[in-house]
Amino acid sequence: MNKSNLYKGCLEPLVLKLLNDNGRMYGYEMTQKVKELTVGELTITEGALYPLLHRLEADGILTTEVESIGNRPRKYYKLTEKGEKQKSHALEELQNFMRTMQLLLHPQTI
Amino acid sequence: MLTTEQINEIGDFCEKWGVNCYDVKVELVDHLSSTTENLMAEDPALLFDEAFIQARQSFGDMSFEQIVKQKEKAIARNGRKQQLKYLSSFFTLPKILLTIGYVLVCYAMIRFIPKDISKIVAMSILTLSFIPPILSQATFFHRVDYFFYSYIDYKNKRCSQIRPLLLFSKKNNIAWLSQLCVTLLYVMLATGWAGINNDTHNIWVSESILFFVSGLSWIGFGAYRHQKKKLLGYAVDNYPAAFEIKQL
Repeated sequence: MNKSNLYKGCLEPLVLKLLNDNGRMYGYEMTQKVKELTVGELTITEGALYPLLHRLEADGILTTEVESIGNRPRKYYKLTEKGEKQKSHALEELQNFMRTMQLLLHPQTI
Repeated sequence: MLTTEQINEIGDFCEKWGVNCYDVKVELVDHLSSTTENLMAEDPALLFDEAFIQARQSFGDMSFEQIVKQKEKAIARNGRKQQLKYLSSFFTLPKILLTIGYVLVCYAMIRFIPKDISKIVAMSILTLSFIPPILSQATFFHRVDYFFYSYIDYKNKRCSQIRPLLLFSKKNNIAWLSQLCVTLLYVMLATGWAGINNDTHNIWVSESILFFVSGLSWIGFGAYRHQKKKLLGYAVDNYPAAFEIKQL
């Protein structure tokens, strides 16, 4: 099975967690941070990341600010109040999912 | 750090792939620029053109279409939400009370005031109600609202983000046309074009409807102005760079 398919559903909680830990981030920074944290194991594709960020922005979970860095503008994302709540909920769901997977794969360890 | 010319080249490339939406373009240009800069930093012998090709390849052409499509959907959804929010914010308690008051006055006009006097009042309100839409709709027969046009950097194609906001300009045109249709109907009834010249009751009903609609059109116009002002404020706050002309 393709590794990226396994990670697909985890992208939203992952992005919310990153923004919670780092305050505000821009798209490229997120892809690099994930690569760095997972030692290259997980790569977020731009085609998956940006539509997700735009959807979360439209839903009021993220807010944006554009800042000029040198000769180009840069768009930063950060969590809104609603986003803080959504993050806790999404992480909780992810942990439940991981526990269920553990239960299925290693029943004796639980 | 890339030069301004190189950044512009990346911007042109994005536009070629249909990325016209201002804030999507900002982040894609930044993303591609950062990737290119990183590649050039890792290998100082690498030229900009070669690094940019590699950055594009890592991105994938299909991603552009996917991102633009998703963004358009998100904008449309968000635009609808904002329009409704700002429209409903117009109807505060005093305005609701005024509207109810207006309906009561209409009723009183129809019920108690002599027909000749109420006819004059109705016609005055009707005539006056046409003035603000005409004044504000100098661009009635054009698709572009110049109120926005003057604030948006069309030259650099930074208008896409604002496009959903222009929809309510068309809505106002529809309201204006409806008003015109009601007036024509009134004229037809009042002058006997519809073959009911001496039917006082029909004329009176048409005058009452006209009076009511004319007044409502004032309320509608107020709501429209309020929504337009709020949406412009929202656009300026969220996309300041798209309003560079105003800021200068």
